[in-house]
Amino acid sequence: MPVTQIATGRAFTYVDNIGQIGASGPTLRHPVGLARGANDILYVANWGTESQPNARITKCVLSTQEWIADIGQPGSGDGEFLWPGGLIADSNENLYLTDQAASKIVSFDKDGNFLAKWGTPGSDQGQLLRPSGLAFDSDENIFISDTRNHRVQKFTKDGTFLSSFGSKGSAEDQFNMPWGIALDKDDNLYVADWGNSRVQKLSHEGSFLQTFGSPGHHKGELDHPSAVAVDKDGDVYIADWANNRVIVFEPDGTFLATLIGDATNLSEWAKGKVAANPDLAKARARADLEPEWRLWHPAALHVGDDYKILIAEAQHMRVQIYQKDPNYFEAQFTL
Amino acid sequence: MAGKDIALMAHLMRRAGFGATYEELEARAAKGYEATVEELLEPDANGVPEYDELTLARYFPDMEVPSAPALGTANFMYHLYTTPRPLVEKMTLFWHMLFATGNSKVDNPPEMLQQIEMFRQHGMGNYKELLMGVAKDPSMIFWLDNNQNHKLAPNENWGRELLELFSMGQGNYSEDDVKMTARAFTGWTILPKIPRTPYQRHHWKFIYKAEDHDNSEKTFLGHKGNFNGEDIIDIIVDQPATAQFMARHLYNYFVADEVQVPSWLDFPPRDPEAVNAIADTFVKSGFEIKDTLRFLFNSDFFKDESVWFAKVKNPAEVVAGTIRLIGDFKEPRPGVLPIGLEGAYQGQDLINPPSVEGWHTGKEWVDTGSLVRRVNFVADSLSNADMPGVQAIINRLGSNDTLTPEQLVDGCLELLGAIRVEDGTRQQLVDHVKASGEIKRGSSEDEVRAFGQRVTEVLQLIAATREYQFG
Repeated sequence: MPVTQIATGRAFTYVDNIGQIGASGPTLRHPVGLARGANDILYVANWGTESQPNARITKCVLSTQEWIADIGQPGSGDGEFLWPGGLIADSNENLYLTDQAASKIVSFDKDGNFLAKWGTPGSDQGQLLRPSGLAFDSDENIFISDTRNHRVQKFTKDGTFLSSFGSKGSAEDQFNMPWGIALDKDDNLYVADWGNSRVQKLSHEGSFLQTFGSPGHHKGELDHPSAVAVDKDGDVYIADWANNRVIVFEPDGTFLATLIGDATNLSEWAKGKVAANPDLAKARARADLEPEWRLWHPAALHVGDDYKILIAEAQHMRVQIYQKDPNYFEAQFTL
Repeated sequence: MAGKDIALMAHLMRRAGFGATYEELEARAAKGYEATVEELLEPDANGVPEYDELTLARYFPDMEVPSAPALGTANFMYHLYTTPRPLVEKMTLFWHMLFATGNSKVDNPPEMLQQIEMFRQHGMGNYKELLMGVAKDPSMIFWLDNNQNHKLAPNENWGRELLELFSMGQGNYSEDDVKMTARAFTGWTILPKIPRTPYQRHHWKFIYKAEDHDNSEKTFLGHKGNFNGEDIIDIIVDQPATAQFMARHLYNYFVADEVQVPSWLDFPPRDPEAVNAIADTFVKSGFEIKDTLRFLFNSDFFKDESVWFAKVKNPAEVVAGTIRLIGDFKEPRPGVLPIGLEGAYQGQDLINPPSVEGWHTGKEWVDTGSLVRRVNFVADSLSNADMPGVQAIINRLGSNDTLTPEQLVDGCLELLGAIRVEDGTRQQLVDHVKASGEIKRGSSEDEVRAFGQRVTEVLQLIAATREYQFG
């Protein structure tokens, strides 16, 4: 597959990847959340493992891959969490993370200091059951995929309940274990309706507007999507989790492109690991590495105003980076 | 005393599954024995949902592709206590115990789980096809050194175990047959693997290397030809010894404990007629496991009360059965690791059997250490009145305001799965309850809590009975 996917005046090109397997420092472990800060900062939420608990947020520099800090730690106390489900940053670069195990929201400042924890487990209005994806609207209120209650709930960012919509089912504006959630510049909502293998676009108040994708494995079809992002032009990116790919749609739902993963190069962090062990380099040289290049359970997406497309792979311990060219002109064909 | 239908259903579910709650037993008894057997054998045709692997992958990414052996163990155990298709998992466990492959050498828990998944997908299919799948399984190839079995330097490990432990059993082949089997399987190997670092493990792949296969003529069990691995399996499956061997394994797993496998040459089957009948069905069906199991579960020798509680539960049955009984993990939650490891603490470290011979079964599951562990695990689980399964038992017994000690003991035995204990055991339980005074449900919060404690006390004592620890 070419590393550049061309579609209707746009191009999506693989650039680089960040990550390697590990429990702390310049490593990731089952990454499932992404947020960006000022000055090229990237935050990655890691699930960790139950055998060696290391849930944390990795803070690093996106372009240089310089590792800065691990934020938070596994547990149930202040500044602790398990089973992270989504990560966002507000305008002050404070971080908000869903803790699916405790059914709470945990917040930190950009230096990793614990700020607050809120949320009550349950199924009443304003209560949460395994909350996963979350997103800010233009007023910085938070929409949360209340996954095991099969609904979306809206809170202020300090945890005051505002509204709720949706119920379990497969009809329009119903959900089945929703996961990722995003808003466009007009504050419309996009919900990765995981169990229904579709993304629903809803108004800010929760009225159904549009469906992206349908269940399947062919072009433009979805199998349990985990995340959704919308760029400033309105193009919609969907992490097609069980099909191990990302699908890009035009705002009206027209299929644009499929990204399957192109990480043929080692990340800066991974280079050190391989360089330190000549046998590892030898073992890699004799193997067919293609499965390693491809996306494996993409669980989080972020598309910035700089058109950088970040894809966190829950099973590849890394973030693949693509770049969108919104004004692509075809190269001379006779070259 | 249990209704006969429910007691028989409890026996079926202990053997063909991992036990069942009393409510499930009632529902299944109402549906009928043969209909339940069919549902267990044909879950697709009976609308039983498939295992929800995607929810497991979403909430347990660390267990979906385990980096640590304990997470691989936890994955298999999680399937046992959450599956809607208990016989599928019971057969998966059966094949894991028979085609014993260990992570101690394979050192790749996700690859071990690939083998387990093959058993899950094909474990109730055709034995010959399953044997072929095992011969091409990367974990097995590495475990028994077939990747070191070359045209110019044969390695007999896989060939020997195929004949001794996976098909015919000792005494039914010669040393030359082992050598010929090894030569026939030269070239059956695995591709170089992607290293586990710096990103993640990836599955291994089988490859047949024709250039490394010994194409010379071979003589195997009296047959002569330029045999490849498929030909050897064809010949093996047609041997009467294979049918006998598999039938005895199925009898040992589902009906009653036999002596350990290495002694089968020296000791006849406990019930030769039953083993012959199973073997006969196996052959006539064309080696179809499902047809063989249908015959077995509907047979008189399986239903006979003399074989109820005549098998020591293996640790996976103790753990998974107890978790299912108390209704834990109805929703995904952290905490799968200690449940997976519990089997190991009791002597059965799933995905890591002690050798290619597998675990010794029957009374060898029990020693002083493992018995205490088994009893304590079950007793601790049944003492948790917050668990829905325990709460259901308390509520059901509490539908009468007062109970005699006999009613409480008999009720607990019944609701734990129509357990029939010896008279002496029952009397000891009754005496214990009597010593603690009147049993009254009451209505205040304290009274209801105290009643719950009286019930869970009896449940914990039953956990220590021979009959609970047997299946």
